[in-house]
Amino acid sequence: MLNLIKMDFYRMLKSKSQYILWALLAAMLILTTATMREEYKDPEASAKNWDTVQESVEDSAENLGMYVTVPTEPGQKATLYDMFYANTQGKVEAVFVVIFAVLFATADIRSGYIKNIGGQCKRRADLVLSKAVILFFYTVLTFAVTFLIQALSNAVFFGYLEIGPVSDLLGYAAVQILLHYALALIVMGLSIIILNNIISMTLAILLCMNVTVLF
Amino acid sequence: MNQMIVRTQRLTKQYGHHRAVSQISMHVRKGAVYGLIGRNGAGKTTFLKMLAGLAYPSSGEIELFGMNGKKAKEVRSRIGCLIEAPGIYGNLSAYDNLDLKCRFCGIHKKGYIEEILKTVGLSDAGKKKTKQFSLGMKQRLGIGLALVGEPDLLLLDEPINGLDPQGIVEIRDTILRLNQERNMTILISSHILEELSKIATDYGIIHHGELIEEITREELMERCGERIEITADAPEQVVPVLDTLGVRQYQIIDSNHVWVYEGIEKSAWLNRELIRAGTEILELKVCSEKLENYYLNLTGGASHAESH
Repeated sequence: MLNLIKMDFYRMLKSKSQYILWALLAAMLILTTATMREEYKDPEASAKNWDTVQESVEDSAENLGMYVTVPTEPGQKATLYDMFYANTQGKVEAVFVVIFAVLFATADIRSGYIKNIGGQCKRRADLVLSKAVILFFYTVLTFAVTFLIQALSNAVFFGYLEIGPVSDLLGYAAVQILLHYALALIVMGLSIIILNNIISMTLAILLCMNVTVLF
Repeated sequence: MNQMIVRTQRLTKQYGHHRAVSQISMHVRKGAVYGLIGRNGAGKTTFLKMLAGLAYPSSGEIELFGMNGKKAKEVRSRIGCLIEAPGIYGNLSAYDNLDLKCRFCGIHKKGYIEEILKTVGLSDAGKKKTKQFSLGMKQRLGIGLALVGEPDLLLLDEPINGLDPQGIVEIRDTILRLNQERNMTILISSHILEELSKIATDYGIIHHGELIEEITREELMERCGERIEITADAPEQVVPVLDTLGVRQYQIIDSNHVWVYEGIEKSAWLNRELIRAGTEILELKVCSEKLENYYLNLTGGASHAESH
């Protein structure tokens, strides 16, 4: 099992899609930060955002789609926690985590590489468990990348870097990592069963956008 | 008695209503090159998948290296396989593909991957992505992946399919080298009988999912009746000469024909000696029933079979 995890970890590092997705994530974070900065500077837009944030917390049924709103109280400094919260609520990280989950989970099956190792595994379940372990690593690394890029973006676009309440930030991040990991596991399971990347990715993104509330 | 590396007992695989493999009981000796012959859809790949652990049998038993049941799982690490098309990551190089398998097997030996690349003739592949490889290169990399971990048993499913003549020769040489230098037992399936006849020491013939015959090369040669056919005006003139030359295995067929069953490779020498002895030879030729015809006759495809 440990060797299998080592192999899959190396495969993750060698996977081009990981770096491409992180690059796209970075671009998305920079874009949302730049956009939110403009709203933040406008007192009317800032007040409207603050109202929207209050409403969305109360009525979760309207949390449909990807909508990034800076939750900073008007007049206060936009902190790293605020921006991280906004992007996470907007499912920015979730989309890239699930896309990677689909690609990574099915790569060995679609390429046929699994034939080289499948027969030698004492338990077939180890093949799936190993991927699950790697997805955890990927989720944690993705959030690490998010923090880094977000910190840089805040410094560049807002001209300062305020972290916000550290213990709250870490607690929130930990919960979000676990939630995103759970989502990645669900998507991994779906994609292994469906074995069609387009359908799997479409379902995964719809899950991120909370489309299931419509039903 | 030769040790059996693989033994199956009434092995069967059923997919819904279709029985892909039916009650196969076969044996593979240690150090043999076992040729599994059958037409497309005969059940060769399904059978190999069950041996490799990639498919579960519907019924029957598999014994590997003397272990069966759950214990057989423990010894599957001693098997290397290339089933259907090679399973490789197209975006990685040959080196990286092998590196992944080495990590899975827990192998960290320096120079190990380079050694395998050299064995399969891919030392010059460099950092080229495998999606740019030719079919022959992919097949060789597939064999290379099967060799990681120094397997004692190699399962090759139609490794020469789609290859050009050069590629076929290279794969054949690789297989023979592995068998002779490393005493590796090799189970190779193919429907290209001509090629299989050059390397296999044992044969199993599968037809409609059933193993209809299992024979050694020596038995096959006997049954295929390789012989020197001498046509002469008077065979009674030929026989004393054969006795003088020390030829013991011969048979007078009729008033014009004598068949000799030994020294097939010395037919030119025999011809020279018979003429030197003053015998009137009308024709001397080496004949045999080709493996292809033997297979076709056995499986009922006799409308295309000829005897030579």
